[in-house]
Amino acid sequence: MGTQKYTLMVVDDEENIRWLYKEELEEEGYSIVAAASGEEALQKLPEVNPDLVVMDIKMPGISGVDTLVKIKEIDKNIPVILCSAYGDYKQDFTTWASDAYVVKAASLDELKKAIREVLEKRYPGKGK
Amino acid sequence: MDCRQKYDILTKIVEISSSTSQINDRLTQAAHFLCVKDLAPTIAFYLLQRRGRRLTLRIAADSAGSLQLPAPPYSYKLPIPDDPVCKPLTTLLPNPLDPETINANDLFRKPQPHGWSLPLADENQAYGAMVLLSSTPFNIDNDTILFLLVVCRQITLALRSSILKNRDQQKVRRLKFLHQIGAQLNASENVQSAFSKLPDSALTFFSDSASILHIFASDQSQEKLIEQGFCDAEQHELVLQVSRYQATRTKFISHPLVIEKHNSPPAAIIYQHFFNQFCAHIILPLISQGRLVGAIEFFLTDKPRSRDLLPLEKEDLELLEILAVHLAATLERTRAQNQLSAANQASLLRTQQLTFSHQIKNALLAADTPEKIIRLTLGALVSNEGFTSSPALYLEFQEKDDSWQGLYYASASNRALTNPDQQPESNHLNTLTDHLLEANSQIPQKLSEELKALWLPSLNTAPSRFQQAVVGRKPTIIPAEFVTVIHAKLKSLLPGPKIVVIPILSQDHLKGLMLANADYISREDLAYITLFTDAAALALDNTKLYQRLQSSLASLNSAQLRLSQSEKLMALGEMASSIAHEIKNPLVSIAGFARRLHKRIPDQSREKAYSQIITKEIERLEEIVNNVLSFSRPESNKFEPHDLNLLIDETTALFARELKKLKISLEVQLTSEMAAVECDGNQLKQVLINLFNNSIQAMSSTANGNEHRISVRTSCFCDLKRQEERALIEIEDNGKGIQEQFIHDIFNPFFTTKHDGTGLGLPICHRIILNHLGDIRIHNREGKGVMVSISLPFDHKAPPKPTV
Repeated sequence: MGTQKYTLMVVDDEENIRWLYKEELEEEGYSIVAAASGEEALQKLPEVNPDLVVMDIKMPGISGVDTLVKIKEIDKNIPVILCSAYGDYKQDFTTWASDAYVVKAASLDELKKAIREVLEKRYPGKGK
Repeated sequence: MDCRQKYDILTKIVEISSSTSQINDRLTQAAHFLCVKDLAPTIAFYLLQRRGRRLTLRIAADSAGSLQLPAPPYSYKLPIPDDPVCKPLTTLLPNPLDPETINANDLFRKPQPHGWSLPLADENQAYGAMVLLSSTPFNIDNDTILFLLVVCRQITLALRSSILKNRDQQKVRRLKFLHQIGAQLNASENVQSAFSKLPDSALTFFSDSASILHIFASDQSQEKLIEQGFCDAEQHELVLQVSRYQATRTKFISHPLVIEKHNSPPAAIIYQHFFNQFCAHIILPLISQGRLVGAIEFFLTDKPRSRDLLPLEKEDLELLEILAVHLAATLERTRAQNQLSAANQASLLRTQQLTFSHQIKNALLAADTPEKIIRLTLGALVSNEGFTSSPALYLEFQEKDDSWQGLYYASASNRALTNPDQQPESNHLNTLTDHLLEANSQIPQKLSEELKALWLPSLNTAPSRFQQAVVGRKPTIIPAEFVTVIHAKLKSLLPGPKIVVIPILSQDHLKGLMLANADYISREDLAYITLFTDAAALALDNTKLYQRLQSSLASLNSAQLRLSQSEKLMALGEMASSIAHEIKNPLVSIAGFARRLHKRIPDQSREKAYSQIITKEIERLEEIVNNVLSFSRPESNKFEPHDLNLLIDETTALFARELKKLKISLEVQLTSEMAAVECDGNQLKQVLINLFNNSIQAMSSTANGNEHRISVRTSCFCDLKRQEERALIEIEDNGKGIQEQFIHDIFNPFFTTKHDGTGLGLPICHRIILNHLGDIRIHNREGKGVMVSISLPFDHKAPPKPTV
């Protein structure tokens, strides 16, 4: 793997979750930028220019789905993984634009797997 | 002969005339007396026969002892004087003793006898002659002749009075006889007994002549010959022939007919033979309402048994005619009585039957199961009021494979066997029902086995007569060979030559067949049987309706219950789901950090163990939350072809360690012919995991000493109902099973028997399998284990949207 780390933006209104994701994903070798809301994410997006966005759906203010649409308007090449406690959004047309959908679980294995797959797909041959 | 002598003779004759009433005695005395008085060596009296025109030697006296008389009847022809005036008989004959007229050789040993004949006659009638005979010629002067004529006159008088007396006596006898007959006829109950008295009476009527009596009553083809003593086989035959001959000619006679030799049909040879032995054939027609209903025949023999035989006169015939009218009336009366009593009996029987059928109908209406109805009908069929002693059996149509199975057998003797003391006629409904049920409840072992063996795959191969009877849907009598050929057992169960086939219908569908021996069943009875079967069909419909009503009421009740429950559940589900979501976020944090904590704590420290517990418990908590969520908001299905065997292998692999730990053996039989099943693999796996978990828990909570075992099998089968090929998964354990009382609740959400269960495991499985258009069934053996079978279609086309 090259020296360059993937930069991931984690968007979740819950601080504990943000912290957990940050710790866990940094352990996986990603550099993490956290945002507490959709607005914050959109605001930080040009500056951070993340390789991937992991975002909750149910958030105060702009919802994850709306934020996803806006992100794609800014740069449709940025992959977004939606991560929610609701399983029923999984096949929902509102989330079609996302690159992956992960149901929140105590174990983060599924999320990590999804991140790996999306990155591999988006930047083939470039990853670790 | 002097005056004194003449006086003596006359006095004696008068004395004799008044002394005794018997003609023979008088004549004997007179002959002897005259003999003694030396009138002639031999004196004989000839009397005119009854019906013939002959003189017959009746009495003779012989002083010289030279006379050898032939035995009576000895007769010679005598021209009857047309002139009624009294004349000496000599004047009527060419010669006082004309050898042409009287063959003296017949009378005497010595030829050429000599004698005088004097008439015994009055102004009206000739009775006979007194003959003076001698072997040597002798002369009698005119005075003596005149005197002898006076004597003859006196004897004639005595003769006449005697005859008249006899005739009176006979008339009295005959009248008495008629009276007796009339009384007997009135008293007798039937023709047979009335006629049985006739011969004795007839003998009285004809007083002395031998009579043979022949009676026939035309309409009852009752022909009877009543003989009185004198009839040998030859005579018998003769009598019958004459009777038959005459019967053809006297069909329409209305009055008594007397056939004697002189008026017999000249062409009839049979009569010529007849009159060699008989003297008369008397036919009395019995006429009632202008119709010849019979006849009585008398055959009178020609052998007079008494000297006092008197000719049959017109009056006698009239008497006989009265008798005939009497007899005809009796015949008619008894016949009418017979008909009336027969009609009475028939109507009584019908009334009984109707009453009985009414009772049966009531009993049938009270019966609540089809089985009871069939057995009641069968019992009624063989009961006394039904058709005694005809055994009957019932074949039931088996819808599942179109076959016929012998179910019940009943016979009257069977009932008598089980219940010898009880009176068959019982008006009490309960006892009647019990009684009829008893007729087929205790059939002998052998019969019941034969009945069980009575299984017909179909009636298609049965004779067409039998099939017609079945299709006709009405009780039909057909010869037994058309029925018994269907199955060998039928022959021994129904041994009679005729069998009635009674289709039992319920809602226009053939439910079964009753077969009974129909030897005693008339066509009229078929209508009566129809009463039973119609009532049975009605009762069957009623029970069906009733059962359906009950079951629909029950299902309505349970549906209502479920509806209200599911409303509650829905509300509960909504709430649970929103709570679960709220829980989930903190749970993710807790789980994440707990795991991180766990990683950082050094091994073999107490803290490591604590955090281990926290992690485990959080996993359980998450599972609960996920169950709640997936039940209230099920995930959409992702159908792809999956190898079921592979799914099972993956699932069992998950449990391998746990099973080993709990010493549960696993038995897996996977069919190699399993094609790919279009399904959501994850969901199916979830189902399998759930079921495995249940089984393991059911077994780990029991310690019955047996080896615990889980068997997993897969197979393919053809679902006939849906007409498609299906995959089948069976998971069987030998754990404690499910308590029967819970079996209906196990698919209800939030129902659980485990202290730490969510009550969502099986409901989720159920929903998943339903979404796959499959079937999940629990075969519970309480205390012995559970087998769960899941059937799935291979093709999954347009699954219905999962309902919330």
